[in-house]
Amino acid sequence: MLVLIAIILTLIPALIILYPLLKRVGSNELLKDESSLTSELNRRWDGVVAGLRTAELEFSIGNLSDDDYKWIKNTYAKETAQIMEAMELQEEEETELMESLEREIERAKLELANEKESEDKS
Amino acid sequence: MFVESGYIAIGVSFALSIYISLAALTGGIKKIPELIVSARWGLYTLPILLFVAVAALVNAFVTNDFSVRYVAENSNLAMPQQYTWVALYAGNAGSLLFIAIVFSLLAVIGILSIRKSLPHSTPYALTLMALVLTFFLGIICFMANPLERLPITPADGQGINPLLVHFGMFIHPPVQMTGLVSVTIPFSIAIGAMLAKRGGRDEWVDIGRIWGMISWLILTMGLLLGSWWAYTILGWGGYWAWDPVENSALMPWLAMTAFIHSIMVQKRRGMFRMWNMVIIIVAFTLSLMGMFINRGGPVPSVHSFAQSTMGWLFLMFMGVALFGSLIAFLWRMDNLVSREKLESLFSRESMFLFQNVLFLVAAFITLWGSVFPVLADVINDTTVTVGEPFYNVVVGPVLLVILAVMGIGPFFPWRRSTRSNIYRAIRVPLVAGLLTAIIITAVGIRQPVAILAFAVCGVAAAGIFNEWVRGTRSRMRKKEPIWIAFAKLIAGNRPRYGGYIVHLGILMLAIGAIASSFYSIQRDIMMKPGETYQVQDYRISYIDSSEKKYSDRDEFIGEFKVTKGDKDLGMMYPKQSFYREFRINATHAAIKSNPIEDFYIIPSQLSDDGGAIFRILLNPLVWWMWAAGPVMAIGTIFALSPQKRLSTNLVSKPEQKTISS
Repeated sequence: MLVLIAIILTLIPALIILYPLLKRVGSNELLKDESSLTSELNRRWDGVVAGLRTAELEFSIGNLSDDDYKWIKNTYAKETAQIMEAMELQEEEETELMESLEREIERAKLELANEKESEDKS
Repeated sequence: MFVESGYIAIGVSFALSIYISLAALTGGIKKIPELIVSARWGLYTLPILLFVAVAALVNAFVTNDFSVRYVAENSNLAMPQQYTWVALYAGNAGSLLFIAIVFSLLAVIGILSIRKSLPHSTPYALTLMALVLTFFLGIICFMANPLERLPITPADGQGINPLLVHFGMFIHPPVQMTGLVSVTIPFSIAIGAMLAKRGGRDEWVDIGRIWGMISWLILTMGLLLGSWWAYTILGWGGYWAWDPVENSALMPWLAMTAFIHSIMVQKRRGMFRMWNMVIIIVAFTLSLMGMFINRGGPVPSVHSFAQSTMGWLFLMFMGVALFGSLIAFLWRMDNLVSREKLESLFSRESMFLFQNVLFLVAAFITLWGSVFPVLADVINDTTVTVGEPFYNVVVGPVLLVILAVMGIGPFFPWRRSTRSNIYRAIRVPLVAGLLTAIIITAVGIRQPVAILAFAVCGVAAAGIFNEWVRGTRSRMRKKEPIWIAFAKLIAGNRPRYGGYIVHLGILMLAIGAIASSFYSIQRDIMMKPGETYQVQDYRISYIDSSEKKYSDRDEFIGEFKVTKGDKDLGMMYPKQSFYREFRINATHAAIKSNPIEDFYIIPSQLSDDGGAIFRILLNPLVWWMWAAGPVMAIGTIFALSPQKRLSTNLVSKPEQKTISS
């Protein structure tokens, strides 16, 4: 009985850790990158929005003078503009990349079709 | 059979934890996803295996299987079954198994919480968690296995340590141990991100902050429950003695408090990236230090496992962890340059930095006080005791300044402010502090330090309430009713207002500690049945005493009738038990507690004629310290509660197409 328990207690974890290796589970595990520029821009966007909201709150309860509030709001506005610009640039780059990919796929399809056509003719 | 199954489960867990650390590290470095998934799935099976071991041990306790050494050393036939839970971690080996299963569960939750958001950091975080587990499981396997059999089975066990037979022991040790080991989770997340070269864009900050706060809350609860246990059972009338083990729990708490504040600056501004890494390394090292001192470290303590000699292993592990972390930090330092710089000394960021430094100073002074006797012994061969007076004089002022910073810090806006602005924001709290000082002086308090301390509390409390009032008024301008305005105010910014609730809890704690430190009244009096004694307004009549013999102890019970002025407060029954097997006296204080003061009686020395020396204490405002616990828990949970993501009504964010990089 003890031998059976020992086998079960050893075999089950062994199977569990071997399964992903044998069945190639998790191929998309590292596809997403937390350090991508998109994630970074999203985090900075959240930070700026939180900063603006806090500044509004601080101003409304009297912790910020008019001048300081204006300065902080302007600073955040500049940051917001920069982030949006970076996002748009990245979006353009991504669009370009996607378009070039689509063009490549189309070209490959065309080449294949041409090859097939020439084979049929010959 | 059960015991052997548990034994096997521990061995398999140890081997598995080694595999997880190696597979996760290799998978992370070589970018082999299958290996990472395999390591992760391995981690998920660990709690199940360790549950088998714990179940085997519990079964051995329940069936009084004294052939198991740990069961024979920590229970006996007379032990009520509900103490099986306490006995499980009452000894060294059992507590290590408890730490292992709790940490394996925390590690599983930790990995589940980051695996999708931090895929590249996860393998490294997993490696670190698995290494910590390997260390604990290695010690359990080779040095302190709670399922080890004895060569000869005794007829009865030695019984549980009498000091642990207390309601507080059902909660305090597990919470404290969980708190210390939980620091490993934010540490692993932070260092994992750093090792994966992902620390430079604050990827880990959100989840690191959440885990930091969870760990902080558990440490806080552990400290408070420990103080409450000491207050009610250790029989000297206090709750904090600056004992080395108490200090070892306080130090990581101080470091984690610094961390959960400074991480906010990184979240908001992309600053303090290196600083936060250093703080979490310090917190983790101090948590290992706590376990080192607790497990046969060089300083004796009422809390430590005195018979354990494995403290030095913990010291070595601590050294390796500290050295390794610092090497990793230096290696990846270039990746941790802050995005922005401090724009003004009059800013929230500066206050956080100042407060951080104070917390670390308090932690290092406490560390110095804890290890100095050992160093003096080793270097000069002299015996030195560092006790309460040292800490009161050196740490006390630092804590007072921290309290002051807690009071005025929130009035400093992010980025910058002007002096006149700050003055405008803090004038009401300052006036409140001044009024507090005047009022408490008028009611007879004369000690300057106590007056200053209460005034600082007044500033902090007024600051919080003032902001709530002004914030609510501001919302009421939008025609919202007062309660709706208040609810929307605090619900709209949960980290901020949750933090204020926690600050209120800290103030309650501080008020109790200050009042009871400066104005506790203590009398040690010899009384015989029939005698009465007057302390302040309290009149106590010693009615009678009784002695009872139990299988494991002789119990002396005093019977007192207590009145305050004309008011009958009822009967009080302080007890003292002598545990024959352990040759230990354990006292159970009789306490009448209310928000104003605690009336506290404990028997100390007994005489044959039923007389005894009783210690009577009037401890003012101690009730607030225990009430602070739930307040801090509510505040932390509120601050952690999920809030709608800050999309904006101020500016609209462009829609994005994303592709994986």
